[in-house]
Amino acid sequence: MSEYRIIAEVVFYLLIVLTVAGAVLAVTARILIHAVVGLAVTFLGVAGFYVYLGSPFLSMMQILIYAGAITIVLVFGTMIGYTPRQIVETKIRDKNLRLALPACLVSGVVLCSAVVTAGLGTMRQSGDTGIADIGKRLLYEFSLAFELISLLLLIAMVGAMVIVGGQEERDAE
Amino acid sequence: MDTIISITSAFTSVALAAAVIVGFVFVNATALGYIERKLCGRFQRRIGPMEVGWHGILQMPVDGIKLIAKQLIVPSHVAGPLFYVAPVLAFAPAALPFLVMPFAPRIQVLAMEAGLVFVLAVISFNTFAVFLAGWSSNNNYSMIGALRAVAQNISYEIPILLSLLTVVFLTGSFNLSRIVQVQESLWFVLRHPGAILAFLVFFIAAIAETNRAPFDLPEAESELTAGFHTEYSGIAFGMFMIAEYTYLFVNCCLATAVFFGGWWGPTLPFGQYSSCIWFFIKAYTLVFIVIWCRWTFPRVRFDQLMNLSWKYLIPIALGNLLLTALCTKL
Amino acid sequence: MMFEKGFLILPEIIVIGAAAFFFGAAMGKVRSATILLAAGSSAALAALGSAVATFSRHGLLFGVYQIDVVSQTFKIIILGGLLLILLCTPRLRGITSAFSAEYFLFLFSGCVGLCLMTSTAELMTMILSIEIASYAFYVLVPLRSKRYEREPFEAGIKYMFFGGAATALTLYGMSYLYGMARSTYLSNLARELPVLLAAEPLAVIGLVLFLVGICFKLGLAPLHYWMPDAFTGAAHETACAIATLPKVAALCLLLRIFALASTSDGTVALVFGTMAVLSMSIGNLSALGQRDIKRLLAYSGIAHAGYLVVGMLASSSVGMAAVIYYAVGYVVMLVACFFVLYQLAPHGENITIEDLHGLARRSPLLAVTLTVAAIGLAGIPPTIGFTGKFLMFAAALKHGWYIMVGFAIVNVCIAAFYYLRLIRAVYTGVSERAERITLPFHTAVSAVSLIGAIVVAGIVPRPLFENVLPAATSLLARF
Repeated sequence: MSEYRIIAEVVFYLLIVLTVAGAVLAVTARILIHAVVGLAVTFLGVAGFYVYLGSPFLSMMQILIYAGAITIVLVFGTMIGYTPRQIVETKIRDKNLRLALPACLVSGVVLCSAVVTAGLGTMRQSGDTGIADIGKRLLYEFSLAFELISLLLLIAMVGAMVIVGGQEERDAE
Repeated sequence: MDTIISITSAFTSVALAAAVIVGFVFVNATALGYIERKLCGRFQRRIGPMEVGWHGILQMPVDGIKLIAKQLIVPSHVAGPLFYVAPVLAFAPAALPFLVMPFAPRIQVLAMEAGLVFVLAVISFNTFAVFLAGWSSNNNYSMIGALRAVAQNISYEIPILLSLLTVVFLTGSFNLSRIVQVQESLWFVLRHPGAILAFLVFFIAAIAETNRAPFDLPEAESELTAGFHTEYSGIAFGMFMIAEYTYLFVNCCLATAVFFGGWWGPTLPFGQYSSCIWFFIKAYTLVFIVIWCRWTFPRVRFDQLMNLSWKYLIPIALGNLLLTALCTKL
Repeated sequence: MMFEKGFLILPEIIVIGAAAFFFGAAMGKVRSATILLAAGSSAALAALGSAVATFSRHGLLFGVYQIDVVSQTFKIIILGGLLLILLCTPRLRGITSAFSAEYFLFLFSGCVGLCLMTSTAELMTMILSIEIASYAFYVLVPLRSKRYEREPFEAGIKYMFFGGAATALTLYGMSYLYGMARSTYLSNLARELPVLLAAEPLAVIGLVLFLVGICFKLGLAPLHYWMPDAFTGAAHETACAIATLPKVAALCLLLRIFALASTSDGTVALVFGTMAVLSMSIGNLSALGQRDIKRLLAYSGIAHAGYLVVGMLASSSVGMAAVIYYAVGYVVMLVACFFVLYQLAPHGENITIEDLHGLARRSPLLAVTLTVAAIGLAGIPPTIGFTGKFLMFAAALKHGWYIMVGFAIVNVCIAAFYYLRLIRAVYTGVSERAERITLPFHTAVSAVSLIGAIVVAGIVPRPLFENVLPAATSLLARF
């Protein structure tokens, strides 16, 4: 069993590297599509963490929704706005760097010191996370939240259509 | 951590299965290529490839060797590393759905609880590869092909999910082998009117999702040369072809498992293993129908394609889902 | 039983029904007069509905949705504010007329979100209701008439991006809280939080991040960037709504969570004290140089968020009641300001200080309305603004926040400068446009009632104060 644990831990650290590398790429890439790819890598890495946390179903949903759908929507926007080799001026080397670095430093120091003082706790597995359990919780305790999501999506969707599609009506006036 | 350890402890068997599956992917793609060319010939009242081997049966292996041996021509205007990543990204995940596919009661690598979702998650990732290929080619034909592919895949993923959910409602499980077991007495497609409708929606949407005629607009050769893979040559092109055939087969396997009773059929000796024959017969019959559709129907227009999904398939699938939910509740 | 439960959520039902009506109206062809009438009457009904609703405590839907005196009080303020806005800006002057149904659809959906915000007792539902309100208001900003090509879209995008970032902070903080307390229910958090905050530094970080995200809606200092641009870009009607209503709902959440953590002397309070001081100083100093009235009001709104937090940090029932009292006053005073702007701009154009010159001669009533509102915002007696500030600062002093109250008082003095500059512009100066503005009778009635409300509630604060006191007591005593 122990060598399997070693393999599992190695994979876990690889996932961490993958996730952080994707995030760094997403922030620093000079070609916009590389940033989207970085984001997709991060999503996949996070999906891996869900498996480690004992919820393969959530991990599947992460891949289906984030890596599959949301990345594609981002890609769609990029595709329409930019040509493949167009370099986007990231202002990360500009004066923004001078603002961003202290912000990162402060939050990093605060978080690290908090972690150091508290020590790394052990994660407790939070009971049953099977599909049936998720389903029941969604339809009982979180039923209002479940319904509100649809209302939220409806508003966002109609809003987008009014702003974008309503342009003709605006111009007609 | 426990889950992952249990998965890793099955590591050796998974590795073995992975090797078998990758081999199968190649063989399957070759076979499907041959079947497609032969059938296409028949549908057009030709005889198809005849030269290499008996009735041209070695034509595809020879073509494969040709593709591997060919020089990879990379145009100077393509966009960097993504151009090389795209075919790999299309090809690599294609084998993953077979990990959870229940070919026979004992032939299934991982009996994953969320197997159905896993297959769909992997399939949905293919869109990204197609997009990257078309976009990084930096070529108008490829670009339009990719644009179409993305729009088409987004639209048709929804009816696929909705139609499969109908069966999930009937069985109460996402586990593929559980879904097959339930169909022991009668296949879903024969048992329940909702499932028939769901299968029709699934089948149409699956053809569109795999970008095949009459929905092959991303690679419409008369308008877009070859769509998103115009700039690819040699084995890079071969990888896209293998991925396409594999996803076609995956979709047919999914339909077999979910709607056509999977491995169930007349009892065979060593049924725990040998009943996979029934699975493959059903799956390849569905493949035959897909190929039949491809060479029979003319290509649709893009607005027709979009309308079919958003105005017909999705409302039908949604209504069907609601009715099925109502029926199961009563 | 069913009927009784339906009665509890009467205001929400009415607002949702109205939103559904406007959704239908947006698709069909409905006369704009019908739409306006429907908007006004449903807002009135909803406000009434929340007023007659019970003040006893009920948990609905597995305790996720909580009807209590706090939620009902804030619903009355929000829906009453909505009604006031609709009454004071009866016709949509700044909005493309083709979009009037859509405008009300999003305004009312936003109010659905705000009503839900006041009643949630669970973190997931809370973040979703915040998002419902936010998205609806994001859409409202670019719906401005064609006169402005670029600004409304720019404003909408800025509003949305900052809102998204704030939501990310909230969710990040929530994930820490959930990870520590293992529950998303406020009642469980209330039990676990005091222990956790004392023992785990990460819980403090989580709580601060969570509340900081909510502060975006309130416009508190480090998250205030969206306000000036969003206000300038939006039409007067929209700006009036997004300046007042979301703030009230955000205040409700902030008060609830803050009372729940009950760490009046801990790190959380220190963080909020700093933010309040920052907010007041940045808001007031930036407002000094503004020429556009809406921009000026935006910066003054940032400063006012700071004042409200000063009252909150007193964490006594009087302090909390003073905050709610002041929030009511703020809504009325701001609506009065926007009412004047709306009347001055027949096509919904932005108004600068120069446009106010000679207003006293063009329309004495509007001049008096603006004067009273500005005096109120500046905190000069005998207005609700003075009484509210006095009560809040007194409560904070009692708790020992001497330095912060000192800052607040200095800020009030700075603020008086630009409010008085408004008044000077109204009474002195000569306008190129000398034509008189004649107000129709119902508009004059609105103006007089706004003036009356600001002054009377300032002179006789007791009735209003005593009505909001139960909510404040319940906030602190509940757990």
